[in-house]
Amino acid sequence: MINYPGATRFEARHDASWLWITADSWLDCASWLKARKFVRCEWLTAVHLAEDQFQVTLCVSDSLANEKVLVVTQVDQEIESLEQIYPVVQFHEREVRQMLGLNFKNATDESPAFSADFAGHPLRRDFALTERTEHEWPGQVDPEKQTKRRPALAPGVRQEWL
Amino acid sequence: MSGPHESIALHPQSCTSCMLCVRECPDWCITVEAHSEPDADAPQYSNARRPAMKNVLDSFEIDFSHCMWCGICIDVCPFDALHWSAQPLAASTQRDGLIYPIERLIENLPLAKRPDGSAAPQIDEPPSGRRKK
Repeated sequence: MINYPGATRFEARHDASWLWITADSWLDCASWLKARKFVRCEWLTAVHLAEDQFQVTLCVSDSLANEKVLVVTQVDQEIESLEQIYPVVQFHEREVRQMLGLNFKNATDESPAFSADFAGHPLRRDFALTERTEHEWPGQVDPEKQTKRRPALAPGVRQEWL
Repeated sequence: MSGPHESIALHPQSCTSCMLCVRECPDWCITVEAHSEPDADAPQYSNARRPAMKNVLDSFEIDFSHCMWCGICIDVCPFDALHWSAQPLAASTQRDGLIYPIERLIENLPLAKRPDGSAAPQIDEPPSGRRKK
C-alpha cells in the first residue's frame, strides 16, 4: 500500500491502493509513482460524467505486477498527457480521445486508435446509439391495449434518439 | 445462493405478461407478445362495468446473443416467473440459435433455483408466486 502525499482521498480495496488526486497533480503523481517501484503502466481509462466532466483512472503496478495503484482524478475537457513518464500510455490516451473526446495536452500522436472513418465519441453520454435509434423498443408492447396517462419510455434512452 | 448462473429459465404459467422484464432489460433482449382476454375463472359481479380480463402469454423470447447475464429481469419479475438456471447455454453456429422461445426456456427449468436455493416450480406445477391461476 502506498499513499501519495498530495492525495485528497486514499482507500485500499481489492488488493490495490486507490488514490484520488486533483487534476493539477496528475503529472506529479505519475512521476512520483514511477520514481518508486511502480514502473509498469497497466491501463488508463475515463468515464464521461456530465457535459465536459470526465473521471480519468490510471492503473500502474510494480515490475512483477504484484502491487497495483489506481489513480483517479476529475477533469474538464483537457488533461496532461503521461507519455513522457509512461510511453505505453500513448495507446490508451488515443483510445480515450477517440471514444470520449477528452483532449490530452502535449501528446505526440493524436491519430485515432480505432477506425478513422468513425465520426463521434461513442462512449459519451450524449452519443446516440444506432442500435437504439434503428430498433424499436420491445417494451412498447402493451398487452392490455389501454391508453396510458404517461407512455412508457425506454430507461437510459433519450426521447430525441427515438 | 441461487447456484450457478448459466442460463435463464421461464415458468410460463407464472408469467402475467406485465412487461416489466422487457422494459428493464438494458440490452433490449427480451421480446414478449401477449393479448388480454376475458377471465372465465374470475368471480362474476352483477354490477361489474366491464368484464375481468387476464393477460395470455403468446410468445416470450430471450436473445442470449445480446444478454449480458445481469439478472435484472429475474430481480424485477414480481411473479417469480424467471429464474437463474444451472443448465449450460448451448453454443450455436447461427445467430438465431441463441434466440430462446418458451419451448427452449422451459428446458432450463429442471436446474433452476430460487434465490433462497430451493428448486423453482416445474412445468407441470402451478405457479408458486403471487399468480395463483
